[in-house]
Amino acid sequence: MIEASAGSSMIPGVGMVLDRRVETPDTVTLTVGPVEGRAGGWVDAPAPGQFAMLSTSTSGEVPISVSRVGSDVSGRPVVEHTIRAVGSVTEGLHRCGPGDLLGVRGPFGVGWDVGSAAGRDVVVVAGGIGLAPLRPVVDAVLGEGVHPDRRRLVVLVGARTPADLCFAEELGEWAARPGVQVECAVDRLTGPGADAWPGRIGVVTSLVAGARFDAGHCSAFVCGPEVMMRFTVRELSCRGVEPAAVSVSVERSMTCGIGLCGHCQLGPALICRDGPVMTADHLLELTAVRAR
Amino acid sequence: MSGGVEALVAEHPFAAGLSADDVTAICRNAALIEVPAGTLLFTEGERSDKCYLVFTGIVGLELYLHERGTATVATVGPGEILGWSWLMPPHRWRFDAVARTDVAAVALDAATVLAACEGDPRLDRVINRRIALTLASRLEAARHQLLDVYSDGGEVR
Repeated sequence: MIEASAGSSMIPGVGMVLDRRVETPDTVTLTVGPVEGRAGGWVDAPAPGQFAMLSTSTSGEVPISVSRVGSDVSGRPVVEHTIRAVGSVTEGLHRCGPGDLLGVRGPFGVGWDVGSAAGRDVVVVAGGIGLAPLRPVVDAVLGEGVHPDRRRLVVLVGARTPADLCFAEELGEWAARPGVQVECAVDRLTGPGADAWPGRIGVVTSLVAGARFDAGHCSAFVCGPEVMMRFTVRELSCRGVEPAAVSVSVERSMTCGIGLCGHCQLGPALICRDGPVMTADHLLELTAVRAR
Repeated sequence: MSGGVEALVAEHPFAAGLSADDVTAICRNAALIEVPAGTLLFTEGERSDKCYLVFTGIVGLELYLHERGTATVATVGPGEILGWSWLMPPHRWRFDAVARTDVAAVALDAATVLAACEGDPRLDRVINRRIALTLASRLEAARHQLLDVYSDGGEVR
C-alpha cells in the first residue's frame, strides 16, 4: 500500500513522475516513484495485474493498471503506468511529465496468478492498451525462463492500426528470444506505419489458431475490450484450453477502488476487490445474466 | 512431385480428417508454388480456378479504390485457405491477392476438386463444410473489425 497516512486506503499518497515515454499518439507510460526527501511512496510493490487510483491536483481519480514494477537505488518500488487519454482525467495524466506530482492510492485488486503457470506454456492475448497490464506477466515469465521445447511463451497482440500498437520495440525484443512467439494483427491498415506493416490484418482472435502452444498444458492471460476477451476465450476453448486455465482482467466501472461505492458490482462480486483479474469460468458465471 | 504435394496437403488443417484417397483425389493437378513478396497471385474479376492452401508466409487481400489506391482489408496466413470464390458462381475472384512476404502454398485445381466432389457426395459435404467454416470465421472477424473495439467509444475516464 502506498504510505500516506497510516492505515488509510482512502487518502492519496504522493508520487512523482520520474519519466514519461510516448507509446502512441494518445498513450504514454509514466514512471512513478517516491518523492525525494519525503517520507512515503510505495510500501508494497504492486503485483502484476493490480491497479492504482491515480489523480492530478486538478482532476478526479481513475484506476490505472500497473504496466511494470522496478525499484529505485534504495530498493523502493518504482512503478510504470500506461495511460490512454480518453477523457478529462486521463488527458490530465497524459500531459504529466518528469517532476509532476500525482496522487496515488493502491495497489488494489487481485492480480495475475503467474505462479499457477509454472512449468506450463503461457499464452498472452492483448487487445489495444490491454497489453499494458499484461506486460508484467511477460516480464515474470521471461524472468523464470522459456524454452522452445519445454516452456513456450506466446504473445498475441491486436490493435486498431499499426500506429496504435504499444510497446512495439519490446515486442520485437521478445520475439527475438528463443521459445517466444509474437504475432500482431491490426483491424485496419491505415495511418503511419501502414506501408511497412509486416503483420496480419484482422482481429487478434484470428491469431489463436496458428499459435504454437500445448493447449492441454498452458495458462492463458487475456486483457482488452470485453468483446475481444469474450471471443478470445472462445477461440482458446476451441483449441482445447479450459476456461479455468484462462485469466482475464475485467476493468468495469471501478471508482473507489476499495469495495465501498459499489459502482463496479458484477453479481455478487466487486471488481475492484474480487478482480480485476478473474478466471474465465468465474467470469462466465458472473455474466450469465445480462441486460438486453 | 505429386507424392510430395499430397504429403504436404495431408499435413494442412484443410485436410484434417480426410482419407488418403480423398487427399489423392483433390491433389490431382495440384502444384506447389513458392513466390517472393510482392507477387500478385490473382486479380479481382479474373476467373477463380484455384484453391490455395497456405503453408508459409502472409497473403494480403486487396481492393482497388479509385480515390485511395489499393487497400489491404485482410490477410491469410499459414494453415489457412486462400480463395473460396472457385466454389460458387460466378467463379470470379472478389479481391486481389498479393504476397506480403515470401509465400509457399499448394494450389489445388478447382475443377479437379469440384469434379471429385461431384462424384462423391460425402467428400462434397466435407469440402463444403470446411469452406463454410472458413467463411463464417472471416465474416465474424469482419463484423468485429467493424465494431472498432479499440476506439475511444468505450468507458471514458
